[in-house]
Amino acid sequence: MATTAEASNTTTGNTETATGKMIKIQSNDGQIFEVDQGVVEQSSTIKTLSDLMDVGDVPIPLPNVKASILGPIVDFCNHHKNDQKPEPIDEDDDDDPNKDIYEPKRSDDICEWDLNFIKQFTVPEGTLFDIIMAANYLGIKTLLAVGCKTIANMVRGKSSTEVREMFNISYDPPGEGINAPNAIEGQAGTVPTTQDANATGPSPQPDPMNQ
Amino acid sequence: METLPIELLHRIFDDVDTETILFSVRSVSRLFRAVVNTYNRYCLNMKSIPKSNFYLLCRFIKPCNVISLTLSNDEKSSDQIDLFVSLVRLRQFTCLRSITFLNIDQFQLNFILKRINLHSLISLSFTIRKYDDRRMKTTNNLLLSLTSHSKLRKLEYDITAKRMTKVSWPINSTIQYLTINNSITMDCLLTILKSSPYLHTITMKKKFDELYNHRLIPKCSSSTSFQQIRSLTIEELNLTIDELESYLSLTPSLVYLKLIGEICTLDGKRWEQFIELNLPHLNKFEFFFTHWDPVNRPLEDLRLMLALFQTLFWTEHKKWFVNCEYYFDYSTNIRIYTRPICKSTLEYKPQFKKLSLSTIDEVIEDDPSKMTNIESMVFKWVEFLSTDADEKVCCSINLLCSNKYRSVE
Repeated sequence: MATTAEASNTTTGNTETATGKMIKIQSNDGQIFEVDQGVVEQSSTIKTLSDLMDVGDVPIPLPNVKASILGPIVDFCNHHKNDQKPEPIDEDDDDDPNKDIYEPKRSDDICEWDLNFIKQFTVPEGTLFDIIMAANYLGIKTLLAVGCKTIANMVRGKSSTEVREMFNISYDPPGEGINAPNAIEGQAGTVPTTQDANATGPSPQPDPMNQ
Repeated sequence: METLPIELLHRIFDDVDTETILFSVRSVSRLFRAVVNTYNRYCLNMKSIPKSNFYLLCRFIKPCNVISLTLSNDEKSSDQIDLFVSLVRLRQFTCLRSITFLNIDQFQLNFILKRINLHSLISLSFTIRKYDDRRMKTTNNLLLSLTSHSKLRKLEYDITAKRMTKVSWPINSTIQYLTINNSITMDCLLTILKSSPYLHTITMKKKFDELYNHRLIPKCSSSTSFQQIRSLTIEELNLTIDELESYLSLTPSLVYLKLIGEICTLDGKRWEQFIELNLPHLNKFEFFFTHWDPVNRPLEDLRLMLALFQTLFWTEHKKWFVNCEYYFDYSTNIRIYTRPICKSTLEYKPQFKKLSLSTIDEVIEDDPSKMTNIESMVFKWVEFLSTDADEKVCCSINLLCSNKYRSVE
C-alpha cells in the first residue's frame, strides 16, 4: 500500500505551490514523494515522464529506486535546485567565458554539503552503489558525478589488493564464471549481470603487476 | 562494485588516473580486466611520473583508447618525448582530443604532429624548449592546418614574437580559447583577432613585444572592434594607460578582464569612466598593479587615491574591492589590487615597512581570503631580519599554509 513520505511537501488535493506544479513520484516499495519543478528539472527521467504522461495527481512510478534511496535523492535535489545550471559543452554562448570547458575533469571539487551527503552511503551496505545506480537511472548528472568521484577518490593510488579488500571483491581465475571476458565484452549499455551469491572463487592471488 | 554496469564503471574511471586504472584496477579480477580493456577515454599524463611506470604505461596503453596526452621534457626526464616516440606507434593515436607538450623541441613537435591523427583534436598546448628556424616553415604549415581545423577550439603556445610574425593565421579560424605564453606584437594580435570570429577568451602571459611593435595604438581603432572577445587576461602589462584604453576599446563585449603589471596611472575615477563608457558588460575586473613613485608621498595622498576606488560604482554597483599596499622603501612603492589577489606568485619584502589600506570598511591585516589564488611566494631580503620582520614572515607562511600554496622561496 502506498504511503506518502513525511519529509515531502505534502499538499492535500492541491498540486500548485509558490514554486510551481508539484509532481508525485513513487518508489518501488510504494512510498510517494511530492516534488516541485526545481527537483523535476534536475532529473531527465522524471522530467521526460512527467512531460509525456501528463500525470496529474497520479504518482510517477520509479521501479528501479527504493524509498530509502529516493528520499535522500529528493533531499539532494531540493538542496541543489537553486544552483546555477551547468553550461552545455556544445553551446557557444555560455555566460562565463573564463570557464574553460576543455580543462581536464577534477575529482577534488566536491563541495562540503555534497561530501557530507554522500557519507551516509557506504560500500559494505552497498548503498553507495545504489545511489550511483539510482542517479544514473533518474538522469541526475550532478549526483552521479558526486557518487562517481567519491568512488574514484577511494580507488586512486590504491593497489589491486587494497581495491579488492575495499570493495570485497574476490579474485577469480582467468576464463571462469561470470567474470570471464566473453561475459563482459560488448556489454556496455546493458543491464549488468547479477552476481551469483553462491559463486566462489579461489583465494586472492598476488597482483601480476606487483610481482 | 561488480554490480555496476560497465558504462558506470567507465564513468568512474573518467575520474581516476591512468596509472591506477592500468596497474591496480586491471589486476583486481577478470571482470575488471575486461572492463578496463573496453575503456577508451584514457587521459595519459606522463609529466613527473617514475621512469618504471613510464615504460609500463607505454607497454600497456592502447593508443587508440587515449583521448588526452601530456608529454614533458622536464629536468628529471629531459628525453621523455624521444623515448615515448620510440616506444609507441604514433599513428595509432586516432582519437586524441587534447595534446599537451611541455618543453618540446621544435623538431619533435613537427615529427609528432605529422604522424598523429589530429582529426578529433579539440585542444593543443605546447611550450618549445629548442627552436630550429630551418623547420619553422613546417611548423607554420602544421599550425595553419590545425587552426583551420574545424574541431580545434583551444590553442596554447609560446612561439616568440619574432617567429610569430612568420606564422600564418587562417581566415575564419574556429579557435575559441587562445593562450600566448610568449611576447606578441600588437600587429600580430590584431591579425589573429580579425581572423578568429569565434575567439572569446585570450590570455597573454608575457609582455607585448616592443622591438617589433611599431604602432602600439591601432590606427584602425575607430572603425574596428572585436565583439567576440569576452575574456581578456594580460599578465605582464607594459602599456601606458592611453595605449591600454585604446586597445580595450576594441573589445567592447568584455565580461572578464584581468590585468597584472606595472602602470603609471592609478586613477580609479578614470577607470570608472572608461568602463562605464567602453566596457558596459564587464562584470569581473581583477587587477594587480605595481607603481613606483620617485618621491615619497604623504599618507593622505594614498588615502585620496584609494578613495577614487571607493565610489558607489566600485563598492556597490560592481562590488570590486581594492587593496593598496604602500612600502616605505628608498622611494614609494605602491601595489594596488583587487581582492582576492589575482596573481599566482607573490613577492614579499619582509625588511620594508608596509602600510595597507582597503576599500572594505574593516581591514583585516593578512586576511587569508585574499590569498586564495596564491600558489607560490617569494621572500626577498638582503640582510638579517629584525624580530618584527621574522614575525611577518611567519605570519605570511601561516597564511599560505591555510591555502593551497605550492612553493615558498
